[in-house]
Amino acid sequence: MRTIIALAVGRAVRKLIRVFRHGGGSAVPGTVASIIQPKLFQKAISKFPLGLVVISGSSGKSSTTKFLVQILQEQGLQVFTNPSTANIKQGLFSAVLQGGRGLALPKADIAVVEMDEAFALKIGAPLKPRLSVLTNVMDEQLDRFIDSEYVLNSLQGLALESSGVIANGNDPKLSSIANDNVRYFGFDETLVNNEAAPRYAFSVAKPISKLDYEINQVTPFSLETDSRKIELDLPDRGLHMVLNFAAAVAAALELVENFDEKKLATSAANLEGVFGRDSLENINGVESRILLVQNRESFRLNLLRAKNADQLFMAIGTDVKDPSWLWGVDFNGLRPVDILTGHHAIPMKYRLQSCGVEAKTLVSDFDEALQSFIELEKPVSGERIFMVTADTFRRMKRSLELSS
Amino acid sequence: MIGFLFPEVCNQQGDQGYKDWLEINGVSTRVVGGELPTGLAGLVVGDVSEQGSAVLESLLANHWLISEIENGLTVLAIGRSGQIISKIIGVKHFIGSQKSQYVNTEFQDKPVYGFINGRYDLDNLIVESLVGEGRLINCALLGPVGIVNPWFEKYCFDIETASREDLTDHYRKLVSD
Repeated sequence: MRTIIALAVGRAVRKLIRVFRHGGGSAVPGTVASIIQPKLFQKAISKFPLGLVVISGSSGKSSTTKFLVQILQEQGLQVFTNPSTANIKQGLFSAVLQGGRGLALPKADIAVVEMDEAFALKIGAPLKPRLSVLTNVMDEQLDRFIDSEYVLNSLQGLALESSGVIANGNDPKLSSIANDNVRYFGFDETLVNNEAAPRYAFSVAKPISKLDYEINQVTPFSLETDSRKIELDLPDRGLHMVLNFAAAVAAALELVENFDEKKLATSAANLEGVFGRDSLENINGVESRILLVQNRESFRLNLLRAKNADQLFMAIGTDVKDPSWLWGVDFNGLRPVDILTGHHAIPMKYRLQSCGVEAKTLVSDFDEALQSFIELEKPVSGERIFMVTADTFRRMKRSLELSS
Repeated sequence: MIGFLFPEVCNQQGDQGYKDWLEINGVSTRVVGGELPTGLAGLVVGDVSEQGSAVLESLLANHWLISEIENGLTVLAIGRSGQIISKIIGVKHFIGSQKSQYVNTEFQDKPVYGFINGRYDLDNLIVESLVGEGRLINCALLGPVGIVNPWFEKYCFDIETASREDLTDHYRKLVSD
């Protein structure tokens, strides 16, 4: 009965909010539903015959989740998932409300959910997932986590309660995950040293030398296991996205009996990324690349993607609690930033200056900065790039009425 | 020349960015490790992670840093690295409860702004110990502290770099928000 009430009230609240606030999601319906029925999410996933897959780690969660969902759907499965970044308790509950109609729980074969790394132990582990996919441990949000060891402990707790684990074997911290059923994916020893391959939090441990799913070529993408070699073409979204895709393929191979490689090639050809994660959008008549930067390493990788920039907008928002980490990013060689804005534009200006990069115009008002940038003459050669943090990305979407 | 010790370990929150800042302002810097370089005027030891703490402690066993402080070197040790060096050379250091916040502290009767993340004592965020002819400045405020607070940089290493009043103001506002 509590479940039915939670679904009814939660969906009514959701409908009401959407009347007044077009488009954007809200945590309120999920919160309301979780108060009425704390086991709502658990009850929903118990109905899925193929169980639950949890994807967690410092970065790459959203892309890996989206890739895995696309692969499984192409293989013929009906998949329940949560929207990108709705990855803590309220988000999961909201996804249940969104995934069904009336008083019914969502219907699907399997659940694939992205989960915030801080909640992997607290929320993910008690759900005893069929499979956990652990992307990496980075020096990220240290104001929140204190130390990357905290993230590792949370992921370790999730792994211990999961029937199977797919983990990034290039990340030395994840090499010590204690689970007999852990299988590792990653780049081979040549690709792992490429400057565009991710770098992980400091560890005294060594990466895994014998990977279960080894990427030994990027173009075409080639993934080798003991029993098969998968080769296909992938859209170019950087090496970190190749790694996320490999994680998704490894997970799918663990989950799907009679895996159809031809269908995987179709998934790869039509692969959709997560909005804002190196995505191309038409903004004010100009094809523009949006690069979401969330931590030192994602900034570094996205700077490599910005090499072809002809116009650059940079906005460092309030989600950056402590701007100290900006001083850990190497901006040497970056073209001048046309417009710099956001809550931490001033520390960013000095960090850029210390790397010999000019910030041409610093605009304190975000909307004004955005407007000035999109009104620039169309770039003659090269790309128009928006480099934004989570907060400024949200404001940008709202201001320009962009939707995924 | 200002040295930056073991950056592969001591770079938890942007400490090595200070090296770029000094370089662009014409101050000579160098990455240093197991061998004592010539012309060392000051040394920065960046913050370390939990695992990095143990690694730094082992790297500093019988290290030249200890004798060079005695000989007159000034060491600015950020975050946890300060606690480790203090322990090794036997000077007082303070550990408090876990904090992750902007701070405004007084040192040498002047304000210092920044961010702390770790187990620190709010009454002793910057502690200077005289060791022989040198100094250990144990500073809980993270990496950019010398950039955010120009006078502190001058106090530690007797250097002056480009004006940045708006940066200090930005931190002053962050502390008061």
